[in-house]
Amino acid sequence: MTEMLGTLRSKTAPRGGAPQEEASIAQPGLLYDRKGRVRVKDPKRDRAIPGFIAGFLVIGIAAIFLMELDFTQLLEGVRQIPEAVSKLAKIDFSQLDITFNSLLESINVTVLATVYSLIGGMFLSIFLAKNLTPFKWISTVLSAVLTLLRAIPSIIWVLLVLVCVGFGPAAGIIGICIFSTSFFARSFAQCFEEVPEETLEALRAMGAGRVKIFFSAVLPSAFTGILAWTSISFENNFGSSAVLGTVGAGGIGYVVSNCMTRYAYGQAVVAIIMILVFTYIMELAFTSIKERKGKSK
Amino acid sequence: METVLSIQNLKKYYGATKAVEDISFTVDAGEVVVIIGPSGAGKSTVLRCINRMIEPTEGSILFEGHDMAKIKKEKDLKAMRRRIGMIFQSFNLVQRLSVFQNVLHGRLGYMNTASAVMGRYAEEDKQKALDILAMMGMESMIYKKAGELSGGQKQRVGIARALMQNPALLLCDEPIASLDPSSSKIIMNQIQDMAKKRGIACIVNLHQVDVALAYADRIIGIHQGRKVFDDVPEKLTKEMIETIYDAPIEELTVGLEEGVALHA
Ligand SMILES: Nc1ncnc2c1ncn2[C@@H]1O[C@H](COP(=O)(O)OP(=O)(O)OP(=O)(O)O)[C@@H](O)[C@H]1O
Ligand SMILES: [Mg+2]
Repeated sequence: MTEMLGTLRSKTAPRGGAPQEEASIAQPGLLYDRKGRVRVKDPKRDRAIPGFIAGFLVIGIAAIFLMELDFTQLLEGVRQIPEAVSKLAKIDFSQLDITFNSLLESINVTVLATVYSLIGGMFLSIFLAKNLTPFKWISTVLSAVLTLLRAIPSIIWVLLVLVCVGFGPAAGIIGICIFSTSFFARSFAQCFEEVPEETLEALRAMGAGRVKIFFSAVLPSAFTGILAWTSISFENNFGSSAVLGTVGAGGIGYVVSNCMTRYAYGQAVVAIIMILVFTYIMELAFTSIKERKGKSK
Repeated sequence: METVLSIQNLKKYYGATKAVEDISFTVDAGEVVVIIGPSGAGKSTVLRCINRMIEPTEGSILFEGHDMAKIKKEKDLKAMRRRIGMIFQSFNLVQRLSVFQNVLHGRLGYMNTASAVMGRYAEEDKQKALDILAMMGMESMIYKKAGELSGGQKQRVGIARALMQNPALLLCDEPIASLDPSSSKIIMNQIQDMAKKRGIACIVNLHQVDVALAYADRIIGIHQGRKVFDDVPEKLTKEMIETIYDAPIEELTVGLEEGVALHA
């Protein structure tokens, strides 16, 4: 069968333009595409990606029909974009001090939440990482619990915590921490698991215990990964803390939602720009730290 | 010479697989014992049973007056392991740390946990590490990251790290299997040096019979988990090599016959 296909393909192989003539002689055991070029992989063995894309398309198309999207409304919305933009463009700095203070509050919430969850996540990750955990069952149980915590987004956690501790930044910090700790634990455990087993074996063989091995080999090896995940988590947490205001936990999100309900679009824009600028500065800072680390590697 | 290690009737079974079947031998201080044998014969298993990286099924492993096989407490095992250096085929350094730091890791077993966590090494340990690195011709690379070194240099760091332990016994599992011939020679010379100058007992697993012949004080041949040869290199005949490797001599290592002819 393959042989037959092979000879068939050799006939349809390019003649004129192709400089390499030996390609036109089909070799058994090799695969060729429709133009007679040698394939470097067997499409039959690599069905996962096409399957995935096809499945995605089917679900996507089905979703359009199921959701009964109102396209006329959508078009109407598009037509109103210029008007909305002109409203937003009337930038209003009148509440700059309040906006700035609430940005600081959001940053505070983010920093505290990130630091607390970094410590908590680091601690949990030691029990979660399969190559470090003292007992395998702890890792399994912990993994299940943390996955549950992560399945619920920060903002929902904040809502739940609000019920217990009432309005204010504390609810924001605790809520973000719950999600972020779980996130840190998972990603740090991933970093630790990537440290080659041989490296740990060498230190174990010389009589070093768990704690010594963790601090002298695992942590230094995983450092770049830890830094990368911290920066990602910080950005996520800032995003969450910015939205917090909309559910009543203070911060810059409160300013934005408050301005919107008062139709003070100009003030809202100032707050939004502040969020953007801060996020971008953070991004730049983390990138430069990572690059400097990369150079000294 | 005093006996450093004495193994009696060592056995290691993995279910039905008999990785090591009743092996006994001794190693003296300053002696280089090379273990040869085909792939899967049980060389690595023997070596790793000695420092209990693998739990032996049966047998006794007498080292410095203690039976390694009978040690129960984690603390006692760690204390014994400090006196046994290990050298690996893949070097097993912490790639992101400097040569200096990797060598100082050899002291981890002796330090209290707090200083180990903070990375605070004693000044005399640092001096000792520098001396050893200088002896190995690595003094210009102390602050280089271990990941940036060549294979031969990495293995020298591995040896330096093991020496920092003040070992009475050095276990080397195919120390030159991923090195080129000239680096291999440097490493084997250094291992031999350590044995002779510092009186360290060395057990070296090797795949190259010619290297074994050149460096061993004694050769142990293992075939399917059993010891089939244990004598000075001069006694290792072609027939014996064929028995150990279970193959005609022509199929074995290139250049092997030359080496054998030299010693036979
Ligand atoms: N964890 C394990 N579980 C089951 N069998 C094992 C395990 N480790 C080793 N073995 C078996 O024990 C035997 C001896 O293995 P060992 O690694 O000691 O061989 P070796 O002589 O070092 O071989 P090589 O020269 O290839 O390194 C082999 O048959 C191997 O399949
Ligand atoms: Mg082996």
